[in-house]
Amino acid sequence: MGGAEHGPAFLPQAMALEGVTNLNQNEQAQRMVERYADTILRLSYTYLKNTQDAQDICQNVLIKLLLEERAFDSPEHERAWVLRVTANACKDLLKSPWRKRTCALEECMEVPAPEVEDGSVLAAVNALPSRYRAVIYLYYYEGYRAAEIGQILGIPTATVNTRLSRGRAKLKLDLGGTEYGQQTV
Amino acid sequence: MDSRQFEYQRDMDALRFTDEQKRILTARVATGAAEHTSPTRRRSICRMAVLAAAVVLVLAVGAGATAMLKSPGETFAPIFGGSAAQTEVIDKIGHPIGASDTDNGVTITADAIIGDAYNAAIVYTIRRDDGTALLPEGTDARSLLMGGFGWTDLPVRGGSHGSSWFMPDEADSSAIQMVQTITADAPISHCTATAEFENLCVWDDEAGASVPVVEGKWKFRFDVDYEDSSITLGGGETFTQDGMTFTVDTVSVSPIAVKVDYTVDSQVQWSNAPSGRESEADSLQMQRYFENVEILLTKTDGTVLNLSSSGGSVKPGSGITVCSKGGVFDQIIPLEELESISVGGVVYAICQ
Repeated sequence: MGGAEHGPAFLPQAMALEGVTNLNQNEQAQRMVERYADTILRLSYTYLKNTQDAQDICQNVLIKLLLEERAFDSPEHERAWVLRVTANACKDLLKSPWRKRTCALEECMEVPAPEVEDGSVLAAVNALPSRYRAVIYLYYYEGYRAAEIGQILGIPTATVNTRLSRGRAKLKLDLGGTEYGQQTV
Repeated sequence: MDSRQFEYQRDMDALRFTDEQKRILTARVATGAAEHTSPTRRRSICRMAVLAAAVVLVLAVGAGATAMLKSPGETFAPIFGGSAAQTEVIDKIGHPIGASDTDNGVTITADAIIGDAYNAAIVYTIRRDDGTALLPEGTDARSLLMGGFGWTDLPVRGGSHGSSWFMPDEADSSAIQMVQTITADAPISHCTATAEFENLCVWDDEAGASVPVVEGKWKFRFDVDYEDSSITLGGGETFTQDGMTFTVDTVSVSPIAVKVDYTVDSQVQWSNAPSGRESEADSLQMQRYFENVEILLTKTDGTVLNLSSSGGSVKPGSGITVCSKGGVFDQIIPLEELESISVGGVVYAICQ
């Protein structure tokens, strides 16, 4: 997948895997931000459809990762953990009886939300329910397979396939019958 | 590759932090982690001074004094801001409570309440009476959930919504504070509230469920009584979006909250989705009638607070839909510091 960032570099939480032992907290934070910040931002935006809340989620997930004491089995394990924690944080926020955000403009480092033009794929994806948006993002952008998405989101693989199928069908309808990457899952 | 898929990936690729934003984020993450792991987080001198004064006063009262009401300012300033202007507002409209219940060696006390006609914020202290640590070591206060009803019930007609969060006391592991904010459809500034809690829980990621860390049942009542300092704006202004006309009925602004009531000129049609599940159609309806209504609060210093994602209610009527949207701020904002509020692009000046 063009957008996915599954690279060989790894992060400080699994320092033992890389033999990195002398990073201070700032250096660890920097490496985690470089590795995961954009990914968390995108998945959070997929759920929340705004970059302000997504940025809050990003900061909180990275702090949680920095404080995580477990040793991850592999870079993929750590990445899946980050995505799962992000998804759970977004779902918690969506479940909250009400959401609010207050921020002084001069203190914000606003990430501009994508231009969502009528008729665009992003507009059509954003119009889907959040449970469909998440699997669409993880499948088509992050490049995960259905079984892996199921593990990340804590749902059965069959449910992932159902959501992918229904999401595709809805996108096809909304986008005027254009096929949308019907790959084997 | 499918062109539509490429378009989606291209749009998502564009969603990224700049190098400067990553630098700022790095600093915030490092600082946040350091604060979390620090065994004795530094407290402000003012807060320490207040605590010290309170201790001295308790000792002076004598051994018979087992409880002492905190002033609203002492209770709320660390949570909602302690500037001179904010403290003045708190002292004006805040109200001490002091009601409590004890079970299983743990006492929950409602310390104080602050609010306006439709909104309130209540601070509770949860304390283990023998002075030992309230929570297991390493418990993240951000993952705490109050079980049972877990809420403060107000005997008002209509619905209410709100949120709650926890604040650990770094200097006293035997206690933690819980803040609840409530926004109701009907006036609440004078009534009797019932607080009912059962088991303080923590969310277990692995189990995918909440697990009790402090067991017990607590239930008590207290009077809700404070001065309503809200001002009312609006009445009949309209704006159009999503093919519908929205009429702003009332805008209520106070130092702690905003509430906007409006009527849409068409009736929302809910699907018959199973309880607890939001259908795709319902999600779209919610966006059109509620979520897409923009509420922006502008302060006199130019700061803009985006309250568009606030909670509220959506009630279908005969050919219309009546909605209420709003919530409690993160901090006390004196009305003198508020310039205007915009609802769906309609701007109301906040004149003092």
